[in-house]
Amino acid sequence: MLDNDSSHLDVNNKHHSSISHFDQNAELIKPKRKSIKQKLICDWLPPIVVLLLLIIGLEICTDGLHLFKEMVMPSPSSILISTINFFKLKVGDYQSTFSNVFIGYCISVPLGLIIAGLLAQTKVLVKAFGPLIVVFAVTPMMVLVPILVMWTNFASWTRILAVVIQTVPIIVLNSLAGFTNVPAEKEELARLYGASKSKRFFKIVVPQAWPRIFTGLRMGVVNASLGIISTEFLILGKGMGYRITVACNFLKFPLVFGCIILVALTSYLLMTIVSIVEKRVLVWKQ
Amino acid sequence: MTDSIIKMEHVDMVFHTRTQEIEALRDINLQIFKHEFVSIVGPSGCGKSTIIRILDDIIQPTKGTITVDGYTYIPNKQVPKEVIRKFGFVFQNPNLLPWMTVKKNIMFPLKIFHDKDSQWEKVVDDLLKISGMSEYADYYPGALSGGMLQRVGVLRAMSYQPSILLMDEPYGTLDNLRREQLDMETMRLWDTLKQTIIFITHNVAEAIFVSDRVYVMDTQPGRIVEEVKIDLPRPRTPEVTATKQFKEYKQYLTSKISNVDLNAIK
Repeated sequence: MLDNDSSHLDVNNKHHSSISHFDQNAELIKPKRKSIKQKLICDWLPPIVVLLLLIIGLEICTDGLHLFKEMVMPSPSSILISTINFFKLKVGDYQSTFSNVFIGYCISVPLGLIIAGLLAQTKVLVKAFGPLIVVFAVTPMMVLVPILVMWTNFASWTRILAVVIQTVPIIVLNSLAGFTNVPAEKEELARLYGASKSKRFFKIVVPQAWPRIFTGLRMGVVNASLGIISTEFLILGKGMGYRITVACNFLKFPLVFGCIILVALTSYLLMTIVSIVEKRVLVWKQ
Repeated sequence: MTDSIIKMEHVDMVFHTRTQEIEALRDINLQIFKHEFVSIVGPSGCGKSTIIRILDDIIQPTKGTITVDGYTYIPNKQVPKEVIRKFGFVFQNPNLLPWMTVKKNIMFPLKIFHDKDSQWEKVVDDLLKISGMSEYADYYPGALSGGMLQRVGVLRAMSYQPSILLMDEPYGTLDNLRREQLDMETMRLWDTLKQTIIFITHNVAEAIFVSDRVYVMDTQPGRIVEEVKIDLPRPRTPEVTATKQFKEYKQYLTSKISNVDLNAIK
């Protein structure tokens, strides 16, 4: 029967090819791609110009005109020099902070997704745990750090734990929002073909939730940095947070600013990496 | 044409909202025969879409009996997959999954039905070929326009070769020219694949153009007010709409709908 049908189909194909030709030319919307040159000028040049102007302006205001004292606003050049000099000798702080961020984040992502996935299976669970997760997500978890320190007795993994408790709730919250806000028409599609519960979840619920999940993952990166730095302010010994505290106490303001800028730039880099992964995964979303 | 493939008897449908009861359908009686092209036409909100959703077991009726190809639906019990597979459903908006390519979308029902046979892959390729869409197989829906998307929607409904096609205002959002083309394409596919089609539309002219028989519905409550056999020769081309017979049908059917939507009879 199948073969019969397809031979029919072929015969008819010729007959109606004019219609399809019409469609092919008129109906396709081709996505425009920027060339590298265009991209350079349109996307990258403006922020670079702003940044350069800011640095030059600051340099003139500080070292040139001496408008600010060094402890209020050190000059960009002194920040750069003192930071480079310091980290040439010791990269341990930077390494420690961001390896902890990395490990903590790698634990948080699957943990958050699994928790959200399990909760999403039943409406009752979502209702029951929803408010709790919102509370966790909106509370700055650094308020818990003193307690964590007591519980873990200054163990080295306290920092990782801090990252995890700061990161997981925001991932759970966003993923859960994705899992529970399935458009009615997509639900109808699952019901139409009598999809089983697991197929419905993995073929429809999860894919349509990806954009929201990635929002959670991006916010998670920010929260991970936040978690680690706030912990390092309290647990001394190593890390960028610790280095900032110490530099402040010794009035090394250029180094303080240098550390802050390093943390900011690295967080920005991490978020960009997540965004690049997002673009790769969500190719269908232009 | 003697044995009916679909029979609905005294079907009522009442929706309960928080504040009120809405009587969507009252005493619907339908009989549809094998390889028939039947339209249900009526103004917005008359329950046309509800009828085919009941047939496809997406929603359950409040009252009444439904028989499809010898199987009578049992209240509060899921209709078996074999019966559901007889239906292909085309949504009003194409309702494609944006994260899947055109081909994956078409194969989606087969995935859910556990058909991973290579034979089916060939069927899908053939379907793509006859509609001239082969080269768009790997495109994502986001890159295609409305008319193309709806054609993919139709192909998806046909992927598992159902014997009955339920079409819920499939071309309602398209312009007249494009709609006419797709109507013709639908008739051609119907003629080739020997299906039964129930076609929902609010456009009286479209209903007459494509159908063997037209049910006219009216609102509040949704009910069937008339059944008309369309005796126009096939295959039909757009020229048929200019004939006297066609215009008489149109006038007659339009007069049967009391609160006529002006856009619908243009």
